Amino acid sequence: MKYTTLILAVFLVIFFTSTTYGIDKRILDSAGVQEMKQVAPDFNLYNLDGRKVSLKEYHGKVVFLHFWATWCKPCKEEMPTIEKMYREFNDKKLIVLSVSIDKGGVDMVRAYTLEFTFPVLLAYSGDINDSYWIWGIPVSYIIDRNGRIIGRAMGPKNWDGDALKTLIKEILRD
Amino acid sequence: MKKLFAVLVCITWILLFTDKTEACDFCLLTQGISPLETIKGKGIRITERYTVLKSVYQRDDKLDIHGAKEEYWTTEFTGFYGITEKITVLAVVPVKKNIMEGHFHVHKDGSTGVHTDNKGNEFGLGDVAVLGRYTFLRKHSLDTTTNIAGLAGVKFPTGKTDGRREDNSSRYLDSHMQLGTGSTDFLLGLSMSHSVRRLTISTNLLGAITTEGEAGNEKHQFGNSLNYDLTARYRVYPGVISPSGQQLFFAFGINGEVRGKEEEEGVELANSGGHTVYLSPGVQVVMAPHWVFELSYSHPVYHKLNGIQLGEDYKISGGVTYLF
Repeated sequence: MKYTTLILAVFLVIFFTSTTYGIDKRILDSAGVQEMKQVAPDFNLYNLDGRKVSLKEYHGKVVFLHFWATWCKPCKEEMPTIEKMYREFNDKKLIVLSVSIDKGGVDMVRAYTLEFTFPVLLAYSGDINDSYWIWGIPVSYIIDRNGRIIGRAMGPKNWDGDALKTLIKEILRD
Repeated sequence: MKKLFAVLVCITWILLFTDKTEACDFCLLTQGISPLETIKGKGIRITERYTVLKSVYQRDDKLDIHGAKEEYWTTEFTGFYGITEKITVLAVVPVKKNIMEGHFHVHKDGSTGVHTDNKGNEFGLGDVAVLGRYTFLRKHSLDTTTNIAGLAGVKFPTGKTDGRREDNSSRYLDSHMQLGTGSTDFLLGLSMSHSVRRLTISTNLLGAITTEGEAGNEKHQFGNSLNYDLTARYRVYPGVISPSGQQLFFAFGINGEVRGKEEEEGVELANSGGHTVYLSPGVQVVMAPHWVFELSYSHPVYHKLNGIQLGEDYKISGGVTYLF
């Protein structure tokens, strides 16, 4: 009985530490991105121009989904790096969706994001599961071409840094 | 999950029935609302714990015997360093002040006595421990996170074991009143936490496997011990976390310690070891990104001690953690 349990324990350790889901886990780890394996819940939100955007319309493309708020100081520090990433990878089929979870009006969010060119959506303009930001903001998700979340970056990151660029390139190549 | 549960039960069983123990200074590392359970990176933590024993128990009956009192003040300095995402090493340096005011003892014929004039007061370095934690499962979904980690370590005999009473007899203090155990002991633990949105349930097991040490001028071996804990922690504030913001958690846990019997010069001490269960409410404040404060109170709700001995009345623990 003891040996059976021991063997089971060893098996479980090997299983949980070696399983990868498409992307090399070492690349995720070195970029500080948590590995996930879950279908991204769909949503329908409005952007700053009043156009309705749903997640499922980007099925077949890699999506970078980012949540932030105007009252979040670390979010503001992170945003210029997202802008740089957007400019570098936008023409390489990376979709960037930046979602403000502010409960305030569209004008406040528009004023806040004037210097950025990536698309900005308003969380409270439609139906989106708050599970996306329950652990805090800023938080970013990388969604593969099958609509599956493969990684989550919690807290502010340098999206223009080498580690995260390597990760994005790997996902776009995959 | 059933298999993992089987492994946990198996380890519990092995530790419970190898029957030797010691009062475990380091067990609170894995109990209640300690941030060390899940924390990564590097930092330092200072905890202060106050424990009082003044009630006498025979098995699970509280006896009407008064006059003996033991107080334990333990300040623990814990440094932790994350070598990788999965491996963290911890070093625990305890400084202890043990106070005895009135000595309870059981005579060879089974009668009991309290000597209120027997006093003792020991202060100094306790037994230092070095531990390693390996997180072998970390699984995330949108609104859940699960962590499972193993802990292993060694406790070294750095604390004094020759403290004497302050009364005229100048006899050596009892083994548990000494600052150290005089033995090199081995620590083994498992912890699991599962968070669903603002609620986290964590469970921990920490066993200590002892070797022979000394107390005064006699060989002494504490029994093996098992500390266990099941705690629920709820984030009261805020609804949405910002990395630079503050967070407030309320916690409530059930935890306990099972101790085996002690041995003195190879002879088992009948009035030692047992099982105590506590209910532990607590509060934790996180002032991101550097500070974590916590305070908890543990009230014993169940004693089942071997023979007749002093049992814990309550303990209070407070801690400050600084993350570099």
